[in-house]
Amino acid sequence: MKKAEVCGRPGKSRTVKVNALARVEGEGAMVVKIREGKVAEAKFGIFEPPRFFEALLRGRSYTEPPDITARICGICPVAYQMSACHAIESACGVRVEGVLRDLRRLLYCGEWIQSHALHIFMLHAPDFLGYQSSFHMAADYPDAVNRGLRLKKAGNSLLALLGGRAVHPVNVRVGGFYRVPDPKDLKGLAGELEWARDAALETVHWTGAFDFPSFDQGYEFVSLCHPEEYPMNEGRLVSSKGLDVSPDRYEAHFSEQHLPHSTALHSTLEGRVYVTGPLARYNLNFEKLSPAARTAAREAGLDRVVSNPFRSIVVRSVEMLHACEEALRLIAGYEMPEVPCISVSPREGTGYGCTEAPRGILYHRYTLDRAGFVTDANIVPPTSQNQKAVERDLFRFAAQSLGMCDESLKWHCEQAIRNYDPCISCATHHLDLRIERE
Amino acid sequence: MTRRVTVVGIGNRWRGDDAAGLLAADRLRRRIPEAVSVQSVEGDLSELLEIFQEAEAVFLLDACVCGARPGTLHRFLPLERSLPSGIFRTSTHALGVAEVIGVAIGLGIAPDRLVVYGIEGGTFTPGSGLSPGLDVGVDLAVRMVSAETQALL
Repeated sequence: MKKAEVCGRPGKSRTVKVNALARVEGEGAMVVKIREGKVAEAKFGIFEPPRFFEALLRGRSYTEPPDITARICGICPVAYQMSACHAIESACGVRVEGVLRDLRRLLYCGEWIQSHALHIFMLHAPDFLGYQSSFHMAADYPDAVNRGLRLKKAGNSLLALLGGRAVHPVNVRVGGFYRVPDPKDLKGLAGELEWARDAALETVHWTGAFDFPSFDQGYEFVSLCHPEEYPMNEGRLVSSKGLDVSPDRYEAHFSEQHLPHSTALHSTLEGRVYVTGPLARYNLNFEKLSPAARTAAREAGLDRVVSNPFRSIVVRSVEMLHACEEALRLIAGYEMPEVPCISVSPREGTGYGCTEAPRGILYHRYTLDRAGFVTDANIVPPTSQNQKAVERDLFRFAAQSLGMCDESLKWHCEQAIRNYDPCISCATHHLDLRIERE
Repeated sequence: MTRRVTVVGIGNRWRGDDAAGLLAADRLRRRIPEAVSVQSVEGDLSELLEIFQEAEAVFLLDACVCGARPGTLHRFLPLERSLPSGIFRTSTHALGVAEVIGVAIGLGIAPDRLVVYGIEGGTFTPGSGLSPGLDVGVDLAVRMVSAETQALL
């Protein structure tokens, strides 16, 4: 079923409201209020209940955050495990290098491939092709949907082999892994990843041919930046307006604020709205993409800097191609390490970790006591960091689209939210506890 | 491993009644013949598409919200009539049961026989226990799926 193309006449004062957003992970809502022909308010509300993971972590052993925080999200558990491991290891004064570091990067490639494939094909493409959902799209675009499902499965295969299972992996630990793969098993995945690489390239061209609303914005982009790699596990925090700090300085520059309409905290960078995620990574790290990914990006019509968030579906496809190539490179060079992990002894102190989840930077901080128990924790997921930018996009997009009927405006505003691939259950943090006294 | 006849419990063990389908699958594993595969899907429901491609008959068990008393059992045949929209919760799943079945039908990979049992839930709050009465619905689902699958062997 295609979207409705005929709808009511736009009035001067109206409210465009979606009480429960579809095709985003978690429970959220959107309200755009138009008064006297002008946008008065645009809100992206998150009402998924908060889960208090940081409180849950207090009193737990330093070995537990990777497994506990992986439960925050079924789509990006590896991101939580990686940020937790890096933060704990930094508190304990340990660095994981060599083959174990490569295996972590390979695991992250698997998560990027499966998460991006899910979002591109099942959640976002229906917006561009005019379908209410992927299942309405499947009958007309079976090849594309099948390609998306197979790409997702290729990513899941990496997660299952390295992580023990595809959802909420259980094989990651502070210092490395519980068990490392046999080279034969890992090389057994290469054939499917070669197919995935070709399919990802086809996807870049496919998404590049979509129609994009004209909506270039002057964002401040924030991502990790590593001297040699397209960022996943490590790097300095940089922004397009000059920020350049190590992750342990995150809280000196970024702050979180609770707003009444959302259970997720809103982040700002020194008071400014910013964007994290594929667009930010691409814009700040273009030269570190694989040559094939850079070429594909140009062929798909992407500029060196992309500032139209509707084009994020193409950038995600480019990143998926890069992740497939990176995975193949890491598999080709893999030699089984002598030990699956290095020893990590607890020590009193605070550690910081920031890695690139598919949706953007994911920051963790843990304070440990002398015995290695967590006394304090802070987790800032990418969706809460992007929340202000989402609301600003909604406001500006609605303002330039007032001629659209309500149905069409609602459609495009939902699409604008999905540009960020929000993971709402990751972002929920705050309990809105209201006590009224008479 | 997926077999010709496969039963799949769906849900989240940590969100109250959302565990209903998983609990039913746990109980079925103890009483169903080995020729029937019993699986649990707790995360990404697109896994169901692979199961659909390999099995001839699939029985899905999931919590639902139709407005009935918790524990009420509903039976749907989605290949004959579309699932009512919005009754299967999708809050922590990127794709819901109805969407995945729709994709399978669109791609022409739905199994020959597909039965969905919805167990009415009352509370889905993270960390909460089960609603009174839910257990009755889980047991009834176990008995009915057990009988239906044995009739196909």
